[in-house]
Amino acid sequence: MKTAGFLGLLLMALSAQGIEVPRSIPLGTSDFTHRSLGTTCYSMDAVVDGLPCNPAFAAKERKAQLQTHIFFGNNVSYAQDVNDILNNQTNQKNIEHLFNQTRSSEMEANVEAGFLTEKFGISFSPYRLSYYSLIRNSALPVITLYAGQEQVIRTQLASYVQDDFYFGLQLRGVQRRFILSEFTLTDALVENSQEDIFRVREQKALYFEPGLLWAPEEQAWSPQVSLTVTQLGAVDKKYTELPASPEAHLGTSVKPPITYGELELGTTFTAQSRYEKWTELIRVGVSYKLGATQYVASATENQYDLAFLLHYKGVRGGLTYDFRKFVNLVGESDEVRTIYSQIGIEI
Amino acid sequence: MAWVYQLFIAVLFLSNLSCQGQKAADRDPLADSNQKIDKGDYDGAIAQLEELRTKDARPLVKSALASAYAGRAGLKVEKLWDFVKALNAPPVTEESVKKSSVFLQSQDLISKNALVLGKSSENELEQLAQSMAAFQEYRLKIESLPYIPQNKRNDLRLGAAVLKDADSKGAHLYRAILNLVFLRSELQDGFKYWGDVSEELKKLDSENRKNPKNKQILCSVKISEFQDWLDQQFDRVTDISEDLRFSFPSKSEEMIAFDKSIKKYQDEVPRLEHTLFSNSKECR
Repeated sequence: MKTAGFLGLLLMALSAQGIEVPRSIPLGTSDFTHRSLGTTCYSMDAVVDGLPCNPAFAAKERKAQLQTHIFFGNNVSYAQDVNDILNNQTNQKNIEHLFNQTRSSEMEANVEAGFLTEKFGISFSPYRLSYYSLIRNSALPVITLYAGQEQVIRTQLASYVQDDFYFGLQLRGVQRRFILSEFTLTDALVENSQEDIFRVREQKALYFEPGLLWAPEEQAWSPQVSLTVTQLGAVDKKYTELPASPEAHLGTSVKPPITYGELELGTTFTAQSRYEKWTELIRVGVSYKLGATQYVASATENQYDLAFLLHYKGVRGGLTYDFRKFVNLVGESDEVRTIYSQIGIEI
Repeated sequence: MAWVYQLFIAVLFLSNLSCQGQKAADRDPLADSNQKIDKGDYDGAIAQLEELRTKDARPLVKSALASAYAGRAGLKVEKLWDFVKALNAPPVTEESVKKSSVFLQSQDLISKNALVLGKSSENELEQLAQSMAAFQEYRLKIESLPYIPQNKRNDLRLGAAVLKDADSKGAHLYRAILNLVFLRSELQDGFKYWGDVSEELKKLDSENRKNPKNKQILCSVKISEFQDWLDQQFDRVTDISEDLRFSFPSKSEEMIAFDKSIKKYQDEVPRLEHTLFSNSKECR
């Protein structure tokens, strides 16, 4: 019970509240697999790029592969704003761009290269950009702004344990520069506003993310049950505005035998400290692969993703349509639709 | 397999955390107030924020309260860059004042009636015309700002009052904007006083030709109200300048020069002892 007790203390120490930014923006992973499958990627084989979401899956890998990919959304125009803000070059154009929005905006972009072989995987992302802004109060616009730039290195070690159990551990090192601030239009327009509200902060984090997989071989539907704990780790500087409470993903998947192609169905329950309704914590996903094409869909109560991927001789290209419904700060139902693109090469 | 069991316990612990969810009570009351403002429930937001500011010293609380008053007055930042342009407008100079239509037209009327007015009254009216011409120049520079009707202007005043002793530069800039909108609205309405004077001067011009001895023609102009109004506007401009100095410290010298020019016009507002208005002995 010592492990559980230690984990409990760590979780309590890490739990904190701050300015409300969807945690997937500052703390998530930006790639095609995470975007299209969401949390169901922790329990499914249908990895389309990079390292597996659950490190225990690396123990099942049979061939060595070197992969690289670029991932970006259709709102990539914010990338310039993120660069300017984080390099202390905020100008009137950035501020105008910020305050001329009428709702929340999000952006993610990522460049990553990785190597995966049996029981071991490593990847490096020299450039992950993320951005989130929310504007409110029409009499004096107030902005919540997150802009981050990260370098991420991930290493996965995995092994077969016994009785169809696999265990894996991901070590994820993140070096991030970010600003997370809440300010009014006039705060942004005054002299030396950069020093006060666009103050760039830095953080180094090391996460230990274990994964467990039960995958009995030679079963007709190839059932799998998995458990992954993410965001469990330590940071060099704690920021109350950027809480990092761990999440646990408990999931299952099956591959019903079909005549043509390969079908996989999965579902995951995520335990996390902040949510509105428990039904948001359950996600279902499906992947269907036929020849060079792969179709992926996943959904939770307020969000769904539809993705299409084409593999051709080690080159992959894909699109994901992301739809998210939420209750905005005015208390009305609101929607965000984003299209993400991915281009990858596999050797 | 003990470690599997321990991981399972950890998951249960996490699940327990997750069951706490995000309670409504955890939400920042400021977020609720902003929501009320966006819904147009300004009375509700003002009540909530007036109470909140007694126990929450965050600058954003005061700014939100000021904005709730501004919202109730009908001020919304839909064309926000017009505000910025108004702030960047070049200063009013003596030269631009003397070229303004208000000054040139009044000069014409005053000189036509110089004989009836007498030298002292002529000087006083000229100075008054110069002050109004200066305001006309300010008015042209800020006319892109929204107009707030007189019955709602008190909320702008209350909003500006909330931010009077604020610590943040942004709050002072917002106060300057509220006062600029107030000034813009006052100037639009306040020119009626000057309109009355001009009308009476025109009448004096025609009456003068008929009856050169008639000196009571300006008696209908409520000059003491006019003077009070002028003083208030000059004070408001000085207030705006002080707030802008706080928000843009490097522009202090420019603002001090601007203050001096305002002071000059304010000091030149004549006491109107000799002019033939309602308070002169000819009208009593």
